[in-house]
Amino acid sequence: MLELLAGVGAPFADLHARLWETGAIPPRTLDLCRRRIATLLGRAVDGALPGPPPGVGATPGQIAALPAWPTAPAFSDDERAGLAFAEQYVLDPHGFSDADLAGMEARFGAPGVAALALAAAVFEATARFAAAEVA
Amino acid sequence: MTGRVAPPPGATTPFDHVPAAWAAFNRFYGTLWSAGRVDQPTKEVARLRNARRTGCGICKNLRFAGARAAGLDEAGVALIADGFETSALPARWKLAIRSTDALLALPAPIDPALRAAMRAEFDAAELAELTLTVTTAIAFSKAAVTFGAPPEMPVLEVPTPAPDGAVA
Repeated sequence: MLELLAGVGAPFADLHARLWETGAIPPRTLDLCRRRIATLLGRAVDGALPGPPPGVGATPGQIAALPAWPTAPAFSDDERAGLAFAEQYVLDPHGFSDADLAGMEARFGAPGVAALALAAAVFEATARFAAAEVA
Repeated sequence: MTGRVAPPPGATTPFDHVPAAWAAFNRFYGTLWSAGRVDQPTKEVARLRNARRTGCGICKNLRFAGARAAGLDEAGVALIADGFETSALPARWKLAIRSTDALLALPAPIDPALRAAMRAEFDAAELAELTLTVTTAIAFSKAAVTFGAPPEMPVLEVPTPAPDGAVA
């Protein structure tokens, strides 16, 4: 992907790198959201873009169980909450209620919700770009 | 961008809770808008098409100054609506609208005729730039929806995003 983007490729890669460094949301939760959003748009994650640091991303067991995330035992409650947020964000953000956002803020804090929303947006933009297959 | 998730004190958006990542986004988005090869009115037409389709109360009322200075006036903006195909909009802008609609519909397949028309109008680098501009607009307009927009907002001209600036 980056080879298509000329001058904007470096700041785009840097943006991806920064998502894992906020300290506001666990990288594993973000990685699960990244993978789920890519799947929703019919893609796999782009390995050329910065991912989570080694050892803190989604586990192989979680990756295998991701299609069944609402009920699979491989995920913590926080991870499930992150995945639910990511799906709602991509599919129907108008469906978020005030109570949904209040619940997310109670769980993750405002910085955590901000970090999750920013990451969801970047992951969606990236996956949608890849799905467009402009090359 | 305020509403259901409060920004930090003195800030304007919840994204200011994660300042380094937000600054990285602004560098990226500012580069995309200000250092790109595609003319700003074409990108602005696509951005506004998404804003209307996504129902982002903030995005649809913002106007980037560079596009306005380059000729996209309110009469033109008003045509970015149902029936645009038979409107007086330039063919290039109509193509940008059709492309935006297709990108919103992903992962549904993109019409091969639309792909061919886009490749005839834009070279490979321009097509990548325009596509990433639109997919970024699609994704980030949802943040404004998620965080909550004011019920009414006037049309507001803002500076075109630049690498050292912030998105309004």
